[in-house]
Amino acid sequence: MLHYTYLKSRRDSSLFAFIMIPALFPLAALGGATLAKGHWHYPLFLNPQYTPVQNATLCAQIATVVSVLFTVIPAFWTLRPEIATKSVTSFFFAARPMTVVASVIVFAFALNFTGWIGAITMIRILTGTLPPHVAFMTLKVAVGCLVTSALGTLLVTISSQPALLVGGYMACGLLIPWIQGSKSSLQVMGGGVGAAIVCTALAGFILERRCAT
Amino acid sequence: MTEHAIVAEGLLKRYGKVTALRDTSFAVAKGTITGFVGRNGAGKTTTLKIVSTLLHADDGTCHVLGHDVRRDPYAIRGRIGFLPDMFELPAVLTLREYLGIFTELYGIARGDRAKRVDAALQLTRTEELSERKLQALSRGEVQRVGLARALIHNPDILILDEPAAGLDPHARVELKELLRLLRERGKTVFLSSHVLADLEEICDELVVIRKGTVIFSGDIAGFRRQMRATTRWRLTAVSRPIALPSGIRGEVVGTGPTSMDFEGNLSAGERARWIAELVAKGVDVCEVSPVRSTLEQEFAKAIEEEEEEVAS
Repeated sequence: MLHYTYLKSRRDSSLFAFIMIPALFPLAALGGATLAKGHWHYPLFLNPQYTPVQNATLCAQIATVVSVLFTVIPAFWTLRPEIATKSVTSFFFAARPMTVVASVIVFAFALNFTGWIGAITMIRILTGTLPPHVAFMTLKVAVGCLVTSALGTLLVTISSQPALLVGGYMACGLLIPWIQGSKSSLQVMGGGVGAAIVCTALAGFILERRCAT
Repeated sequence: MTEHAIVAEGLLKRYGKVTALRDTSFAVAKGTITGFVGRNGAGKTTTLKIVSTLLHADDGTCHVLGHDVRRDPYAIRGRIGFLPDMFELPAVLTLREYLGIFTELYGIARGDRAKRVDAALQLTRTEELSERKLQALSRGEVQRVGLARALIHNPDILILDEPAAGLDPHARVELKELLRLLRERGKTVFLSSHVLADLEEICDELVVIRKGTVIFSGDIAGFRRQMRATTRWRLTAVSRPIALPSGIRGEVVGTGPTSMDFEGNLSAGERARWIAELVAKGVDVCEVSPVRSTLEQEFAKAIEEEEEEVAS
């Protein structure tokens, strides 16, 4: 199933777009802010009065938001046509609905988490430093991407209308501050993974019910 | 004793206030091609979905290859190939890639996957389409691709919902050949269709459904026998119109310039009397023969009779 989502996404070029959006964000933000001051300067900055570490931290926080928020899109989009036309039922003879749903979640998670890794690499190159506690931040992003991926998949099983993406973004409005504000990895892991499991189970159930009508 | 691949008993399915199936019972023998006939909205697709484990009946039981569709759906799914009436294909993949994905999903050994894909392509005569993107296919080609997908894992039962829809006459002939070939290989085929002439040619058995209730289940000869309480006769003259003689019970159901189709229980004596009367009137009778009705006519008649019964 992962092979199918990968092949389909690669063919319509959405794979490239989904990975590059978070990865290229620091380049656009840091490059734009630096050039707006009228001259090229290395390391690049968002605010010239900040230290490189502060700039890297700010940029990483924004990249976190972008990565987590944008994970809803591939999760919603990848199997949207198959679910809308119920063609996804053809997979149910070879794989369980839960497997189909889990594959989409893993796929969307992998895309945007790769994008996050690209973003952090870009930040390191452009600011010359990494934000502090980058490992914990990466864990938060991983959990955030997992939850939004499960949420996007749940939404598409409820309805394939693109307007439902708005609901996903609104949920991210609650999720992102919670992730950003979490102080312990246990809290992030427990809450996030729990939410992802609930969304996955619901999505699998709804998908099978929906295709049965 | 006949072994059955599918046994449905007393199926009931409601969608809100609409009852799609009521007390639907039938059986499909192993290694046969069984046609499933009914008008639009009769409950064909609902029944096929229940048999395919995609939908649960509200009441009744259905066993496929000995497994209960409700209790053991995943044991059934891997052993059936299902072709729905409408489906979409991923436009950006080639046919070979698409079938390859299903060989992976069905857990076919890596070394056998290419062979399986080639076999399915060959069986459905889609080899020339194998490297083409699925978006560039015609309706008939899409139908063949759907068949290839349904066959990729070598299922025991093939369940096809309107497989002839959208196929041109040549493709229909090919489909019939394919289904015969599958029967020869011991597969069970359960297909719904409106093209009754096609079913007549290939089906061993028939299940006729009307408004959610099975009104006939058995072989085609049995269906004909059940329908043939009255027989249609055609009387043809060389040049003059023919009139219905007096005293004969029946109904004229069609007339031509020099012929008449008559439906009724015409005994040999009555036939002789009729001919003698016409000859006496100077009508040059050249033929009196029973008209073999098509399955389509028998089906329409069965439905009409059922509706008349219900109305009365």
